[in-house]
Amino acid sequence: MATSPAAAADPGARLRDHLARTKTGSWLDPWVKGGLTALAGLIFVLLVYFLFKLGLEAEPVFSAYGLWDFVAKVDWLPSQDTYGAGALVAGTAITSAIALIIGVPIAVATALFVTELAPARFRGLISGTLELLAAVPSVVYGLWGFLFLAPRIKGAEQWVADTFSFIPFIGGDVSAANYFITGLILAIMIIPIVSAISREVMATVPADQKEAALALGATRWEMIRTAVLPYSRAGIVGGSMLGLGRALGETIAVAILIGGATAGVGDSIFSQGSTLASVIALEFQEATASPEHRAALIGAGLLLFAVTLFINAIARAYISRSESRLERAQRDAARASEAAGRGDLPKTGRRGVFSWIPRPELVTSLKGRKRVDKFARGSVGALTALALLPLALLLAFLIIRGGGAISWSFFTTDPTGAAGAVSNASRFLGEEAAPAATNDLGGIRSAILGTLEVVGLAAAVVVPIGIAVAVYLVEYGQGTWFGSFVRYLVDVMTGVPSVVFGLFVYISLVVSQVGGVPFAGWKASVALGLLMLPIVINSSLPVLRLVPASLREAALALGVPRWKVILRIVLPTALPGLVTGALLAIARAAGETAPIIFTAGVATALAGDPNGPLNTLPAQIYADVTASSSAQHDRAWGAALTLVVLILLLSLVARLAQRRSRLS
Amino acid sequence: MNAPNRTYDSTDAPSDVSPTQHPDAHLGERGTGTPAPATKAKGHEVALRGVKSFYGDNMAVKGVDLDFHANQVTAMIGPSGCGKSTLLRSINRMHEEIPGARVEGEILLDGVDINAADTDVVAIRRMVGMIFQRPNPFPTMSIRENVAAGLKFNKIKDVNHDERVEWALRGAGLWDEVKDRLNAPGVGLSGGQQQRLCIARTIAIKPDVILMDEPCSALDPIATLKVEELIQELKEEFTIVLVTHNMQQAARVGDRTAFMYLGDLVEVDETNKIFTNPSDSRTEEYVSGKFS
Repeated sequence: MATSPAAAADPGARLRDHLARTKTGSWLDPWVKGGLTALAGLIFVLLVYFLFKLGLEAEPVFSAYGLWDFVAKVDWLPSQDTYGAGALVAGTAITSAIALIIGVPIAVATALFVTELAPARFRGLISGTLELLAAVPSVVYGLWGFLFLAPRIKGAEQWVADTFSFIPFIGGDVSAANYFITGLILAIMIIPIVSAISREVMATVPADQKEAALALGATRWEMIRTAVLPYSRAGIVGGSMLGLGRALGETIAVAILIGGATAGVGDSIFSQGSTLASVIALEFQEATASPEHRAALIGAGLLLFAVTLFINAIARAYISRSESRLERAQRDAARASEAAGRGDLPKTGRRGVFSWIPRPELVTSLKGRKRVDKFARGSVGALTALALLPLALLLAFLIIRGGGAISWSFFTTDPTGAAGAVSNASRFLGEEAAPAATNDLGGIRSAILGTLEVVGLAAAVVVPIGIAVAVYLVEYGQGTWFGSFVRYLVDVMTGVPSVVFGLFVYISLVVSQVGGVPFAGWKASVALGLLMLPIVINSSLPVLRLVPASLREAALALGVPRWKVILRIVLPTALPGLVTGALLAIARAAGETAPIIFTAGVATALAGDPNGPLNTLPAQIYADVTASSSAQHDRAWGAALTLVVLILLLSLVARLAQRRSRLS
Repeated sequence: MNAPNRTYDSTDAPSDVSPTQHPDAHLGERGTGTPAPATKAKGHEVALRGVKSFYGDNMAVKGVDLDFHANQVTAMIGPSGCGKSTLLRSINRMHEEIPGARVEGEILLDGVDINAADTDVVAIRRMVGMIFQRPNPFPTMSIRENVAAGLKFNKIKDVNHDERVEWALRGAGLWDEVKDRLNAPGVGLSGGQQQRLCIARTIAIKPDVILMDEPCSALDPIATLKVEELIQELKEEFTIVLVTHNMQQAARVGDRTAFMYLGDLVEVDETNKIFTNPSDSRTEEYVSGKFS
């Protein structure tokens, strides 16, 4: 027995002995906490440096024109060294407005259809298909819009322009690339996000409210009008704002489709133009020669950042307000459903954003009400079909055209740089056209491997950092000012358009030739990492919060130091959700184009060294789409199919990981 | 013996499979608080001296002096918000995990102040185990891993884990129900079984004291009965503090009962006396159901 006579006489000796000899590892706790806090603080340092660097570089243009003149002047003429961002601001506003006008009603209709009208067996299918739309990278939308949609609807556009020329801003000659087609593609791109958020909000409408409306004799549409829509209004508006934020910052699809005219706004929605984001992507290379041009582009980037920040802030406020609006919406819904039951007109005059929706209260006969119901439900179904149509077309053409381009050698050879690729490279890099040895274009091996390398490098660094920051926020930052501050900074970072991150890395790493070369794969990884960081943090936060506090307590009460609780209990419990979040962030980054063409440069040969130009799939697609030869267009389709399959695989694995989660 | 973590009682781990099987387990004179001297079932005393617990500036426990006798169940009763759970969580210093919370006063375990500023709270918690309101087995772990979690996390290597797991599960009265599925996930058990699993997890590291925070509040009557029987058995080996909302439970399992009200300890005495002839009129009103 270890119990010595002394210990028996003094029971406290045993305890003192235990306390003195036990190594608990709790000395690590302050270090872990300090380290995680420092990592979270890194985000602050990063954002400050980011703003400082962009502000410093843009300073010449703001001091030359003044903020107001820079924003208001509509002439952006690099050849004359005149920079007024007005046309770009207008172009951004026009395309985003078109996207919202077309996209939001369709998105809301699909959400209604999925949550209220569709037969149960179609619901998962439709929402899954819409999520598929969200996984398609923007360069593929640009490709599809440019090579498929634009030529086919040009005739219709011209007809509209001729027939309705009496309406302002419609008429004149339709150019293949124009504001309208850009807005249309942006609408398709924002439908998934707006629809997803609307769906989430509509799913929270209490069943008893809907049943109350139905029990009072309301038709299904009247129930939607009186119970579902008022309840989910704030969420729909918030989701639309997030969609708007995405439309404002969208770069590469816009750069392909909008034409790139910068002298003035143009006189109709069928004119060519530019947006803040597209001008950066299209002109950054020419700007290396002119400091003032570069400052102007960075000024445009800052402007874009400020606008998206503003819009995102409003969106977030709206979505969080939907909770506090709950009571009001409940009251409204109850009152309105009573009115609908009586066939009365509601006495309140305020109609809000849904005033265009047929008002069943105005139709008092049962027959009329049924007709309204039928019409409204039919329209919602038709709009849903309309939302799924472009996806079907896109996927069909991707598979047919892309599948046709794919062969074994497509994956095993590198692009040779032949044909249009040369003129394209010279357009982007100002390089001398390399003599084409052969007419064989080559495949996309270097692009695939380059994408894996760039994205893998970014993920390897950023995923652990992002999860660590999320752990800090959940385990230590809860309720502290620093925690809320970091949380806010992460929100700010989420709103930064990817092109602005690309620009930032371009001016801070590429121009200054860090590492001895201007363009390098690792610099693209930095840009993608900046993009992924807030996504990883934001997707990890709710998962970590879902880990019940009782598990942490159970482990702590067993005598486990805090850092070990995090490592052995919190992280393993949250693992499936963390994997899902990381994979979705990777999938998002893999499809990004704008930050890559700023940073990785253009290369065709296979290169393993990240400290040198690398080819990537999005860059390859972009280069091929903007080239003129149809052979390159075919390769673009093939590369796009490869990229989409790659991203879908990632999303699929993410979904499977989520299903394994033990947290609800 | 060269066990750095446990210097007492390690010999009974492998061979004695149940704490109830000690032939000399019933040595203490029940109720007097003075167990017979120098046996290996000799328990450990906890004494609170002027314990005050704060949430920020709000004092939830207002200076409590209270002794928890070895090998006894001390039940703590009182209306919601009276500070009994806070006091319980102060003993193993879980209270401090809440931001802004702190504890003043002395908490003496075998005469050693475990609330002293320089003591390692993590080491304290190995001596003072805790059972929570809701069963909280680790969802990523099997039944076996759950019970062995404390041994594993604390790197206790000088005991055979499988034997200790069996000992703890027998001690928690769960062995016969789970022995064929030790590798099944712990969360797959019923609520009552989960709570007994948590008890097994706590006793597996052989603490001196077990704190129970309304351990039956999430259980059905039959599961409650089982846990209460278990508590009676566990006190042969451990000092038990039981916070409960249920006065019948306090009367059934408590050797002594403490009544707290508004952050103060009103009185503590033999359970019988508290429920039949309390000294304080507030206690009488509470146990007779005049307020809650």
